[in-house]
Amino acid sequence: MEDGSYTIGMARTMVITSGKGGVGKTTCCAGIGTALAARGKKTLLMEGDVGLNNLDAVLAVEDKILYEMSEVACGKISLFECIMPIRDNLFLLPSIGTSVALLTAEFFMETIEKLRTEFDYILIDSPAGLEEGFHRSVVGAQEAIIVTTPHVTSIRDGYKTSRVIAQYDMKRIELIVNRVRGEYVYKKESLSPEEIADMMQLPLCGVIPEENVINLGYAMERTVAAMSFSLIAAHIDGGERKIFDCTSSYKGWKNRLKRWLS
Amino acid sequence: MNGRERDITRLNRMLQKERLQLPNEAIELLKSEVYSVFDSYFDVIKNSLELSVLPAGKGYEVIAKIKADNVKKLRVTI
Repeated sequence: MEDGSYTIGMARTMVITSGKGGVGKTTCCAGIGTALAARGKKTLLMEGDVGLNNLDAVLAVEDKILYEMSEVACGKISLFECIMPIRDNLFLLPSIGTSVALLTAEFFMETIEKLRTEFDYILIDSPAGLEEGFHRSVVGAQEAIIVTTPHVTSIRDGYKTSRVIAQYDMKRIELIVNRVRGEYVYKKESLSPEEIADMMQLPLCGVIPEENVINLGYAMERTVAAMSFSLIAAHIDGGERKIFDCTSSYKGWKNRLKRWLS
Repeated sequence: MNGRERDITRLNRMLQKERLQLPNEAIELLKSEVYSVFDSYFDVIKNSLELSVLPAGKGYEVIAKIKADNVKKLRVTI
């Protein structure tokens, strides 16, 4: 790993990865990107899962895509025509799964290099697994965020992924623990995010609580998860060390009484 | 032991295994050393040596298993 310095005027490029599928990489990518954009940072979300793209669906823009990355790769349109504005400061570079073979690791690296002066952050949503798609997503990134859930399989895969990622030239590798059930952590029936980070030997970047609204694909504004994404963005962008405490609503007699009455 | 404690135990073992990644050359070297030691005491059947490196407590143990003409079964923890 290099030192933690960043070049002013050049985007920080981060890959959101996990190894295992279904742990919330895409949700985290969209959530962190939205939170960074809300802090006034010009953020690009790049679809790294080019075959099984879902970033567009999580952002609810799947019907609005005009161009996609493979059209840039074959020279039909320019890179900047392909970038799609989502909201203030938030942009998407989409893929809809056609001509995937054109989207090589070299194409990703070149694209990221071209865009580094245009954005503050470029977040790449990696596919599951450690194969070609993973390499394509990781190769242009300078930082990595590993997403895991508190489940054994996810932690194991996340750990393996972090070992592979460490072989790339990364400035920083951090961990997000997603889908944490505060009640179980409080009752010591489930691993705490700190215990998971300790086992995986990674610094904790953030914790996201389990919320049904995310699962149902509803808008995330005003949810507890949105708050935790804001904390993660503050940590990434401002260096603040505040991790969401998913057990807070289970502590104290007032909360116990509230839960007993409900 | 509740689910959390069981998960901690399993994960510690799993991740400990992942952390130990000996290159093939190192394993071959270890095998030839162990083989030559055994061979000086027993009539070791060729290619019967099995080495496994397993997590044990906070460290690792190397277990060697061989088949030899003059012994029924030999399992040594190094």
